Amino acid sequence: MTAAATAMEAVAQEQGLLVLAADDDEIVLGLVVYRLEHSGYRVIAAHDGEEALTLALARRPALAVLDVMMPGLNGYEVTRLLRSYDATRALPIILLTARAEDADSERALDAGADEYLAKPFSPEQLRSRVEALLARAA
Amino acid sequence: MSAEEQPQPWATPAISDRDRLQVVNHRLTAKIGKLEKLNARFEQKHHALRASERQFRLLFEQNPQPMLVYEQATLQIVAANYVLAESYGYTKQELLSMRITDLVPAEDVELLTTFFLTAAHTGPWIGVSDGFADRTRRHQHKDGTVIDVEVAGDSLTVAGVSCRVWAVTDVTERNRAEAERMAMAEQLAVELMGQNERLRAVDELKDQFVSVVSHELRTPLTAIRGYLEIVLGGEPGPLTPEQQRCLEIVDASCKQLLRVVSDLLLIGKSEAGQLALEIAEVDLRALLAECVVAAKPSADAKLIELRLADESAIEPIAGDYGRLSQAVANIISNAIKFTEVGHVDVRLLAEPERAVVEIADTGVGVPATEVDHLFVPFFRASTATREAIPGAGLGLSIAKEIIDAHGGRISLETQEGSGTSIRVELPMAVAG
Repeated sequence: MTAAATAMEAVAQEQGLLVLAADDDEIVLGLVVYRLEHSGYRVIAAHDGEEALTLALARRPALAVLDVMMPGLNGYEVTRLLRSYDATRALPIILLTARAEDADSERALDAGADEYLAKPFSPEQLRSRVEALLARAA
Repeated sequence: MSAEEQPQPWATPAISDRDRLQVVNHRLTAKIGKLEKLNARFEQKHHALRASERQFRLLFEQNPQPMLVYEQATLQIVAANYVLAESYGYTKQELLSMRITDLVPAEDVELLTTFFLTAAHTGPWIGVSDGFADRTRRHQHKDGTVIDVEVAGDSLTVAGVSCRVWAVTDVTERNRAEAERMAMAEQLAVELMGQNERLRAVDELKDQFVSVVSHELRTPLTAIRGYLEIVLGGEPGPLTPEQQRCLEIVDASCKQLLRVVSDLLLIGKSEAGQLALEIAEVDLRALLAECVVAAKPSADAKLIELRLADESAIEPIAGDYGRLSQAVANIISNAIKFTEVGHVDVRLLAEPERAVVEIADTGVGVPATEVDHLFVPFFRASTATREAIPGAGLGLSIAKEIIDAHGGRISLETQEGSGTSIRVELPMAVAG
């Protein structure tokens, strides 16, 4: 980890920024939570789209990491809905797509996501995207 | 001399009875001679006629083809040969009391009569050439067996009566064989269509399978690689050198698995015509250098020299850097895999309107008979299986898909035992 990253981590830790992570796959969700918690964020986890939407509106996180392929509401739909509420209109969102295809990335951005990461992504990559997005939002 | 005794100049001179008889005799002899000549001529003609009739009868009677003669006006059969009587099951006597309408199935009689009334019933014709319905081509044996026939007919006059002569060919077997052939052909066509449909379905299923499997593999791969990264980073705690080494092997295998998944996806996409390129300016020299650097460790591990001949100045081409790197990396990786001793040479050449990349190795090569298959997905050369060279048989097919998508051309020269050379030609600008 770079010195800058360590510094950002320290800031995150201090501020305890809240990040929402949603994935129906328990193991991948665990990975995201681990990476973010060990980078100093407080993380709330959701296991499907509806839970993610509810938690986002109730807990007002600083950023959301959403998997695209979730039962019920998928990642695109949750993103679109979040963009329609005043409270979450500006919420930074990273979508995790299962495919590294252009169509998927386009759909992610069309739905209103700020960033997308194609699986399999590196946890370090996720951390740096989260960090960069939060820095931009601040 | 008295007047009565005067000889009369107009009076017939008196001839003796003997003379008169002689004259008559002469005349009779002459007439007899003429009659004899006539008789001889008649006899000659009669003989000729008899001979001709005998010949005709012989031809008619002994003909291996069933034949009959009937009166045109009454349709009464006046002659039938032995073969016809035999094959139809009638005696000749019976036939001579029948009309030809008795030789067709009852339901065809009206049709045949109509045919005789409407069709030209003179001159030569052959059964089907009149375009009449198929039913005029059916006859019936005495035992009720219905046969398909082809009839050749012609006119002839017998004792001043207009007749027709028929030569009948039984084509039942031929028609049956024909029908069987047609049915088989139809069945075959139906089967082929079905098979085609099944193949299409299997093909679609394969595409879906490849797509689903590769996507489904990505999720667990995310977890495996992600946690490996964390563990190898030492966050959960320090690793012993042995643990570190083991996990690095897991990581390398995981990367390899991911490459196979990506290759499968790419093949699936390109077969579905969905291989999209992100075209930009590509510095091929930089691209090749990068690929060679990346492949160096695997060449070093086998003590193979991997050389880049960077001799020609070349303009940037239009292409998809990532895809082209993938294509070149696949070719270089293949060259290293197939080479045990020697070197792999990568060369960049500038030719008019195009850039050429040549990758030549001193490896095991491929038998000439397999060259055409080398760009087919999942094909593995016999030398690869024999030498237990790992791979899924996707590398070259992917390279070809990518080069093709750029409007380029990939070709290969190989000699079993002495190496392979692959030539990639890329247009300076992508067509379309």
